[in-house]
Parts: sequence; C-alpha cells; structure tokens
Amino acid sequence: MEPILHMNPMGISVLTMIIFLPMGGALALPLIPDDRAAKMYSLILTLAVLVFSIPLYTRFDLSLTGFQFVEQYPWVKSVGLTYLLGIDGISMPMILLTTLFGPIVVLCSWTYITKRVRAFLACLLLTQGIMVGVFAALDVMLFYFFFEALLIPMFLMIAVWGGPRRIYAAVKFVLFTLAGSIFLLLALIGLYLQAHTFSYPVIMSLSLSPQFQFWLFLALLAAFAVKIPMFPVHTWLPAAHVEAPTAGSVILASILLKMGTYGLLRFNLALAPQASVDLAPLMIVLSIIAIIYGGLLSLAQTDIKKLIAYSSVAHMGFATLGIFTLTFQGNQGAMLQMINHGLTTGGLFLLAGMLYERTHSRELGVNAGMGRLMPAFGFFLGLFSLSSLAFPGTASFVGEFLCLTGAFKLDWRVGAWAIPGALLAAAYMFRLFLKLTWDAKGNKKVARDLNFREWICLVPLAALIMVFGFYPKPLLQVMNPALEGLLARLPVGQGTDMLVAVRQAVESIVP
Amino acid sequence: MDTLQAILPELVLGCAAAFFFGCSLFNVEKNMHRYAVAWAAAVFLAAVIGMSGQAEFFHGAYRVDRFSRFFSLFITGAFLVVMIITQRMEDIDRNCRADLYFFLTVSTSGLILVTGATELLTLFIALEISSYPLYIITSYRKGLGFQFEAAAKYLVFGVVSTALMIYGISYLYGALGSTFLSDIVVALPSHLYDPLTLVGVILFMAGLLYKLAAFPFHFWAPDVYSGAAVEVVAFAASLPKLAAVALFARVGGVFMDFDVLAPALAILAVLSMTVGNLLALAQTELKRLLAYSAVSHAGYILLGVLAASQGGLNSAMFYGAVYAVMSLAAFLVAVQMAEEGKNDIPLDDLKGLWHRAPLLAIVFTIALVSLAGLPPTAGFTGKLLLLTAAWKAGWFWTVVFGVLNSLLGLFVYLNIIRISLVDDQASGRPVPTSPLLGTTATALGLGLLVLGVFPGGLLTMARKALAALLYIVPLT
Repeated sequence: MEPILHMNPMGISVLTMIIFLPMGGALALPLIPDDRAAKMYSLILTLAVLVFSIPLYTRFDLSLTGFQFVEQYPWVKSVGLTYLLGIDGISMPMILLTTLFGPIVVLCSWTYITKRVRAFLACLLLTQGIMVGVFAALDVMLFYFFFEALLIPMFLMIAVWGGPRRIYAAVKFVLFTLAGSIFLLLALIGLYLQAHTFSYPVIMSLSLSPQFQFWLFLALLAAFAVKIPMFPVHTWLPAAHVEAPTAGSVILASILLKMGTYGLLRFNLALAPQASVDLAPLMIVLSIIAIIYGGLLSLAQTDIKKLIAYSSVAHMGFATLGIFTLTFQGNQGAMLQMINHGLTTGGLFLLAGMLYERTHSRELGVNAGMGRLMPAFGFFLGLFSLSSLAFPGTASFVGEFLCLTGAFKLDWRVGAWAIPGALLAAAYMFRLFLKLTWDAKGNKKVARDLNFREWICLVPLAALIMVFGFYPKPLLQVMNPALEGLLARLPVGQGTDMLVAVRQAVESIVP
Repeated sequence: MDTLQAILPELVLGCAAAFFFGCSLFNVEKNMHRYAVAWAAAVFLAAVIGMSGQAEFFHGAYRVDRFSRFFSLFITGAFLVVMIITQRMEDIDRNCRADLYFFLTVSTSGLILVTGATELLTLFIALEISSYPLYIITSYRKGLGFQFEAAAKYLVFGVVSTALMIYGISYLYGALGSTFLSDIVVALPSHLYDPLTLVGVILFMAGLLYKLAAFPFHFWAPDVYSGAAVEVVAFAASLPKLAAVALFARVGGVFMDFDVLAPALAILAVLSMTVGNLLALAQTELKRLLAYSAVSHAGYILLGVLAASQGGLNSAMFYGAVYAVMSLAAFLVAVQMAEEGKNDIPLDDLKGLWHRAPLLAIVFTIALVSLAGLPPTAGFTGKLLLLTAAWKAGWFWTVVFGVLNSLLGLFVYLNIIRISLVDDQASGRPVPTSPLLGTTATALGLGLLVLGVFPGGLLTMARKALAALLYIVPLT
C-alpha cells in the first residue's frame, strides 16, 4: 500500500519556494555593494521564507494521512529520479523550526561576523534552503542530494569563521558525517535496485526481506547516528560546536542534529520495521549510554559551549530512546524533544554567543556572575536552562516526560536507567545557570545588557518554549496521525531477542 | 556531400594542423593564441555540425557514427578549452608555440581517429598519432631539465605499452583470422577458452589500461604531470581519457565475455581507486596530486566497463565526459597559479585564492567537490550511476570499495579546498583573469552543476551513441 499523496492545496509551490528562494538569493549576494545592505537583504529574505512557510501549518489538513503539499515533477526518468516534495506531521514541524531559525541566525551574526560578511551570509542562506530540502524531499536520492550538499557550506562556516581550532573541527565534522553517509548511499542504491525508483512512496510499499532490512537498518543507522549524534560517534559534536561561530552552532544544534532523528523515523522505522523491532534493544542501550555519558561529560566542562554540546548528546539520547521504545508515547516524546531541544539549545547557544561578544571568552570562570550585570540575559538564561533540564511548565518537560513514559511502558528497568540522566541534566544546567548568574567571582565589572536585536532573537524562542510547555496540543495533533501510521507498520509481537536477530541475519549471509 | 559533412571535424583539424605547421615553418609568433582559439572553435563547430554524420571509410576500418561523434564533440570541446587556457604559457618559449599548437592539434585528431576506428590496426595507428605528439611536447618546458626525464619516461612507458598492444593484436589476428572488430565479435564466442586468444586480449587490454592510466600502468602519470608544462598536462589529463573510455566502450564490451577478465578488471579498478587516492593524500604539489587523482578516477571508470551488461558503459561514458570537464576546470585554475620558471605548483601557492581571484576560487571549489564526488555536482551523479550499474551487475564488493574511496577522496580534496578558500593570508601575486578565461571557467563550473542535477540529456546522448556501436547495429 503506497501512502497517499495529497497535492499542493495552494496555487503556488510553497515547498519549492522556501527551498530555492534562499538558495537563489545567495547567488545574488555578490551583486550587493556593501555588507550592511547584504545583512538587511538576508534578513528580509529569511523573514519572507518564514512567512511563506506559515501556510504549511495553517493549511495543513489534520484529517489526512499520507503526505500533503506534494509537488511532483519528472526529473531524470531514465535513472528513476523524481522531483518529489511533500510533508507530513513529522517533517512539517521540522521545516517550521528551520524557517524560524532563518532570521534568527542572520540576526545573531549581525556584529559577530566581521570578515567576508557576504560570503558568510551566502553560506547561511544556502544551508537554510538545503535543510528545508532535506525535510521536504520524498525522493530518497533528492534527500541524499540535500543531505550531502549541506556539508560544504557547513564546512566553510566552521572553517572560515570559526575559533582557533576551526580547521580541525571542520574537517572532523565533514569526515565523520561523510563516513556515515557513504553507507546511506549504499543503502539507497540497494533500495533502488529493489524498487527501480528512488521515489519514497514506492519504496515504502515494498516488502523487504528481514535480512535486507537488517543490513538496511545498520547502513541507515551509520549515517543518522553520526548526525544525531549517538554514542560512540558523538566526538565531532563538541569540537564543531565550540569552534563554530554562533550561527553555525545554532544551526548545528537546532536543525542539523534533528536530521538524524528525522532520518531514523522516516527511514529506519518506516522502511525496516522488522529490523527496528529486532535491533531496538541495541538502540535503547546506546541511547541510555548517551543520556548518562553525555550528562556526566557535560557536568565536567568549564567551556560553556562544550557544556551545552554534551548536553545535546544527552538530550538527543532521550529522543532516540523515545523512538526505539516503539511506543506511541515514546515517539510523541521524541518528536517533541526534537522540537524543544531545537528551541532550547538554539537559545542557549545564542546566549553563549552574546556572552562571547562581550567577554571574548567561553570559560565559565571568566563569565561568572555576568547575570548580575545583565539582568535580561540572566532571565533568558534561566528560562532556557530550566527548559533544558525539563522543568515542568517548559516545553522540554512534556517531551522528556513522554519519552520516559514510553520507556516505563516498555520495561520499568529501561525507564529506571534513564532517570539518572534527567537528574544529571538538572545538575549540569543549574551549575551553568548559577555560575553565570550569581557567582561573585567574575572579573568583568561592566557589561552592556541585551540590546534590541538580541531581544528579537530570543523572545520568539522563549515564547514558544512557554507555550509548548503548557499547551503542546498544536504540535501533538499535527504529528499524531503520522506517528500512528508509522507505528502501524511495525510487526506485532515485539521484543525479539537482539542476539537471535543478529544470528539469523548473519546466518542468512554466510551460507 | 554527406560523407564530407561526416568527416568535417577531421578535415578541419587537418587544416588547423597544416596552418600551425606553416606558422612554425615561417616562424610566426604574433597572435598565436588567437589563431589557436579560432581554429579550435572552428573544429568544435565542425564537430557540432557533424554530430549526426554517418559514413564508413577504408572498407569499414574507420567509421563515423553517433558513437564516434559523441566523443568527437567532447574531445573537440575539451580541445577548445585547452586552447583557451594556453593564453599565458610562460613556461614555453615563444618560438615554440606554433609547434606546440601543431602537436596538440595532431594529437587531437589522433584521438578522434581512435574513437572511430573499428579495425585493430587502424586503432593502433590512431593511438600512435595521438601519443607521439605528447611525448614531444612534454619536453617543451623552459629551463631545469626535469621535463626531459618526464618525456623519456612517458616515451618508454608508452612504447612498451604500444608493443604489448601490437603483440596482443598479432595474437588476436593469429587466433581469430581478422583484425576487424565486426569479424572478431562473430569469431570470439567459439574461442572463449582458447589460451592464445586470451593472451591476445590481455595484452591488448594492458595497452588500453595504460591509456587510461589505471593501476598498475599509472607509473608514468605523476612524473609526466609534474615534469611537463601545466598547459600540456591539462591536455594530457583530459582528452586521452575520453578516447580511452571510447576504446573501452567499443572493444571492452566485446572482450568482457572472458570469465577471467572481469574479476581481474574488478581488482584493478579497486586498486586504482585506492592506490590513487592514498598516494594523492601524500602529495604536496597540485599537479602530482591531480595525476594520482586521475588514477583513482580511472578506477571508477573501470567499474562501468565491468558492468558493461548493465548499462555500465553508458555510465562510464557519462563519467568520462564529466571527468574531462572537472579536470579541465581544475587545470584552468592550476594554469593561472603556475609561476614562470617554477617547476611545480605547491599546494601552499593556492593560499588565499579566495582573495586573489574569487571567481576562480569558486570554480575551483566546484571542480574539487565534483572530483570528491559530493552532490549536487556531476562527479557525484556519475559515481552514483557507476556504482548502481556495478552493483546491478553483481560486483557488490567493488561498490563498497567505491564508496569507501569517496571518503578517502574527500580527505584529499577537502585539504585543497581548505587551502584555497579558508586560509586568509592574501600572500602571492594577484591572479590575472582575462574575460575569455573567466567565461570559460564559469561555463565549466556551471556545467558541472547542471550535469550533476540534470544528467538526463547527456545520458540520453550516451545511450544513443552506444546504440550505434558496430557490433549492435550495422550502418544503414
């Protein structure tokens, strides 16, 4: 059964436009005479994209299953490629998250970037379009095109405008990512040879053999685990986060990491359901390691950005845990966690960047007590920290709570293992918050509080975190049909022993 | 008249060669570059006009059809680009330039003859016509003396491989009783287990691998690349590759029926990719690096030959054409970076390219990303097609090595991208870019992106060209 494709309800091709408007806009940047005009131009462009993306939510039909806003054009028939875009309840929130961060990353680079400004803005606009493309593509090769095309602009963003060890961080980022995604390429070619097309709806309707699913799952996992990043392939993340400019960190944390979990939902769960059930124990173990290990590492950091980076590992661990409990609540929680982590950690990186612009340091000790000098900064830091540790009333609480519910529903021991992670989150976030806000030992005597531009960056994030903390229904109602459809694909009778599954698969390969 | 139209590219090339020969005789030095570009444009135009030409010459030994014209188009196009980038040629004496253009033209005509030859001896002669001029112009560089070593190496390797090839042809003739491909196709199935034929085929294939600079016949490449003038290398790196792909497509398909040949080619393909990339990693000089990168790309092209039965030839032709474009784009920039009297282009000389010539830096980056095989460039699309075909034909393990190698490749090219785009020192002289060069660079860069995203047109062209192969369709 192929999922139903619902054509675009609007007169204009919204998805194509929000993908290619920023990318095309990047090409025009060299024509703009000075840097200030270029910044204004980029801001207006990303704002326009944000406005254009709003109908994706308002015109989204909750009663429909399958994909909406579909745009389908022949691309390269002889190779089995179609230009196929469409969204469902899983990808739509991700796209909105991406377009929301568009203007924010331009604004936060306003004074931060001082050299080669137009080239930087071009990179920002390119990544903006490409990331929407990743979430909107329904042709798996089109997905891969976008997935990989992101590498070079991100590489440049870190390598040219990053900190002192930027080359190391950028090269590590690209090599890790590509090392994973070459297996994604293998998987996609393998799928093509089965389906004779790269079209995702057709591939979804295939029934793949358990052996093929097993290898497919592992190959896809290799690509997505690096992006998420899961333990033990997370080591690129702290390096990249620390060295990247603020905008780069925000893009990495808020959107790029979500491509990994999005891939798990869109590809692993949907295309290899049997293998997902078989390998779920492995994924759960890796997730719990990520939650606890990430938390412990985060606790030990003195670099603000590194602390937040390791906390991302732990938070994304909750998301993967939620997905592979294979329960409805768990998956709801994972989706919410993805969105909320995007909002929260994006906000924290923005704050870290603002602090860096004032003190030129990311050390906790140097920046201690800054909250006394900058009350508004302290307020936002408090809010984002609380959300990051999943304090009730903030958005992350709902997500993490649902993930844990799923875990407990699966097996109380799984849930019990994840609980210390939640406690650790409180420990490391409070450490950050207390040190930066109330510690007296800071050596900085005066600092300008947040200016208007910085307020504009933070307010939307803060507002959304509060709203979703009390009222997550707008998100849940959008994602529920898609998640139900996804979980309905899983074979019944879950809980196969992983060792048995591995042995079966190996036996089927080795005659 | 049709016949005349069909061989128009060959005729114009002949005229061009005669013109440059005349220039050389009468020591014309002025405006040589303009003449060269004009003649190359004329040749390219002739190839466009002659696109649909069909004719047979010398009792079927030389054939003009869609297949050979597909390659003529790209070879003459590449020829035009090479002529455009020979603008400065600081490394070559002014009074040698006419000779240089003469030899380049002759070599090009040899390559075009290669793509149309359907008889082994004709093929052999065409190969020699294309190779000899290159042996000579490799030594055309001013000063130093390393160029003579390079030329000597090129000559020795070339002659040995030629000897192997003609030796193989003699075996084939002895075993099959003909040197016409059309006869060989008919006679071959009954000789599949005949050792004499097999020896002939292997020796012949060795000659082809040399042309492609695949492992283990690649040893000449790095020295020739670093010894010769950049402009000459730009030619030697791109055009003969196209002819080699044509050869593999035309005769490789015939010989792939031998059971032992395919595994051997698979191993050579994987070794080519891996050795090429690993050695490229260690290079600090751009030309040598590109030489090893050529070796690794030869490996990818071999994958297509391996999967001849599954649309692999089609992909190999696509990749061959794409490779020519990306290597020309890379060399176009390399030529601009080359400094007079220096023997090589250390990677450090590329520092600050972004500040010195933004347009060239962008084109260079596109070329390198394409060489590394990342989307949305043509290098990725070509690799995707080759790997798919190889997997379809059952060579899964070569596909695994193929993707692993793209990781190695990325490491190689990322380093150059870093040096040229990231490093801030605006050291070094500003890079001069004439409007003609700028346009050519832009066209090559855009071409790589367009072919990457819309490979359909070129693929259809390649498929139609393949359909015209002698052993499939007789001329009407």
